[in-house]
Amino acid sequence: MIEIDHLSHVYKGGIKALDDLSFSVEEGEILGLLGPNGAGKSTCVKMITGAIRPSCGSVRVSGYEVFRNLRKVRHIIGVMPQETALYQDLTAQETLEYHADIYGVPREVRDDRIAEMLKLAGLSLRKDDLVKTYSGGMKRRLALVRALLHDSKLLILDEMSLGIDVQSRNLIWQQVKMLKKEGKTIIFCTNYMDEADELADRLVIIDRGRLVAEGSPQSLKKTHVGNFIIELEFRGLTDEQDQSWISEQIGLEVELASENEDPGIQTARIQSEDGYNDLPQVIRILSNLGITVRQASMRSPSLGDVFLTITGSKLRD
Amino acid sequence: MVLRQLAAIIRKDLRIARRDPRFIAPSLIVPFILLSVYLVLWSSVGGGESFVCGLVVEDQTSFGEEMAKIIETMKSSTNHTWFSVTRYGLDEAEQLFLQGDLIAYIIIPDGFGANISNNQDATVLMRINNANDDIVKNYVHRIEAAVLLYNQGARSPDFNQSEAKVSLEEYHTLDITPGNVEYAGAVTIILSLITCSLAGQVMNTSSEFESKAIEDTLNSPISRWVLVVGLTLSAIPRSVLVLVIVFPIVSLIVGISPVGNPILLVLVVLLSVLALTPLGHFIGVLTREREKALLVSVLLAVIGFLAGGGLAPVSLLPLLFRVVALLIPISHVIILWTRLFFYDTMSGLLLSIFALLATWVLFTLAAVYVTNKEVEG
Ligand SMILES: Nc1ncnc2c1ncn2[C@@H]1O[C@H](COP(=O)(O)OP(=O)(O)O)[C@@H](O)[C@H]1O
Ligand SMILES: [Mg+2]
Repeated sequence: MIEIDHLSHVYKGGIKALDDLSFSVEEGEILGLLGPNGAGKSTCVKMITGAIRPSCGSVRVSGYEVFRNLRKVRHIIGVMPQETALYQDLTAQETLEYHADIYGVPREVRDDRIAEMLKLAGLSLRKDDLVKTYSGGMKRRLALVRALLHDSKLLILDEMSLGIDVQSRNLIWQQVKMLKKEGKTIIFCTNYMDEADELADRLVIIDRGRLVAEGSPQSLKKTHVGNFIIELEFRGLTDEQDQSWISEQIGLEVELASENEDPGIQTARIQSEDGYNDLPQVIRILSNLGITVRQASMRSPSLGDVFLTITGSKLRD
Repeated sequence: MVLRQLAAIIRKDLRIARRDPRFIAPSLIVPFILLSVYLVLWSSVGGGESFVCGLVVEDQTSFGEEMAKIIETMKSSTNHTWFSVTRYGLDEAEQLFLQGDLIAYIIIPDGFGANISNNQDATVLMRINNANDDIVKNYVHRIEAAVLLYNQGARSPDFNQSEAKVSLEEYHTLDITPGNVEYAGAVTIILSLITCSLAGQVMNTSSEFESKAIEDTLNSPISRWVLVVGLTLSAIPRSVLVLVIVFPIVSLIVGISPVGNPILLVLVVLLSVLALTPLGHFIGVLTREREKALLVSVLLAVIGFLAGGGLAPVSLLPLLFRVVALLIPISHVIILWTRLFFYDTMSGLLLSIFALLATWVLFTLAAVYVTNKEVEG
């Protein structure tokens, strides 16, 4: 459905937003683009819709080279942009009418389709109010159904749940899952790992314009992190007892961080294949070394751990 | 399909204009500021019946009285505003002159008639406060003309020159000469239209970019041609609305009404909107921020107004200025409008009509090009 080939982009002013990015999306797949703010996700999807011309590389949608077939490609894409780009002085009804007319939704079905979309967005009762009177979540929902209105094969959702309430977010997530059942191809950008985890069949993780990992959420966690993450808080470490020393003592890879207000307290993060055996063992070894463990926990790895492992920095920074 | 898209764009633009009528503000403010500046300038610096020239007739003979009559009743053959003449005694005139209440006064001295009877040189005296070139010319020309007429044997009140050795016949290229205030009034009316279609569209386009609302249109398969033509068409009712507000107000203030064919005037209005709106969109795509756009467009309207014959008809400017002015589309809008406002003729207007048509085509092309290029740089 989409082939992205060695895509690079430098904005005017010299910011390199994308750096030799290549990936593809299959028909009927939900692909998540995951990465921190400024990673280049929006830039990437704007090239798929033909809004920005890449500095080099090519994008093909349904076999069409995007920049040679803009009209054709724009017909088969529905976009929900990152900014809630709505006309503030139109009503929801008028917003959708305008969209239907410029996309050429057949007249016979137009009004039914609009009514259906308004219902989907939960805006039927407010359809004649101006968009500027809506909450952030309502605007987002309207932007989503606007992208769905002309029933395109490919949907692009840029930060669908940016800055909205939990109800709106759940509603949008539900709809995305429904759309998958209908066989749509969807690309979404996000920096929320729970969103990526919940919705994506496959993820492309981007950092500073580069692809750093690719795969289903499960396989990414498995290959890059392991089965468990053990987190510990303790005190009593001397200056010489650094990360490598403690890793050696325990026999597992340990990452140390001192992010507590109390400088004496340190946090350790340990990747483990066999958490049920490793956790008591680690605590025992540490107490034998005279280190007091204040708190210990074990959990399944998240996509945030994947990102941290690969790039060494946190996703939400 | 194209018609449906066009209709959608126009409907959307007009709905937004109706709900957010702020677009009217600059179109009302800018022209009226210029008009009031002009009125104040004109009534305090030069011209108009409000300026009184004193006349002191010391000579008691019929020759003196005849000369005085000529000065008092002489009319301009164009209807340019002229000063009025009032008689004073010598001391009074001198005092008013010193106080600044009289800009000039004329003395027909004792012995004027006697000199003429004796075939000696007779003299009329004039004192002028020559602070302003225009005024000096105005006064001096009148008194010069009066002396000339007198010498030629013209007799008040018909100034019959049949006895004269030299006579003058004038041909005017235009039927009437609009007064300065009338001209400024007509220009104010068209300037509101210019501001609305040019500055208004710059604002519209840039705020659609700033709010990103335009993205839905740009992501759609709509042709950029349809987009530009659509927004040009929707500027027509907006601009006409502004005209409907400004026209009667200015007509009342200045006391003017158009002479030309109303249908032609309407065509000029349409042509102007068609030419200026794509130009506005073009500028809006380049500026992209409302604040910047507002500044640029008001500046443009004012510069265009000055360079485009807003204060003086283009045909009266020095050659270099005239050439520059004719390169600005606004000039042609003003030329066409003022011509049809004051005269019922289309002669000599072909160049301006052609210039506006060319502007329309050229900037529609340019607007399509920049809209097409990329959404972001
Ligand atoms: N129009 C633009 N001009 C210049 N730089 C830009 C522009 N848009 C985005 N950038 C820069 O490109 C990088 C990637 O941005 P973006 O694609 O929006 O990231 P993301 O969507 O992942 O948060 C950022 O450093 C951003 O500042
Ligand atoms: Mg983004």
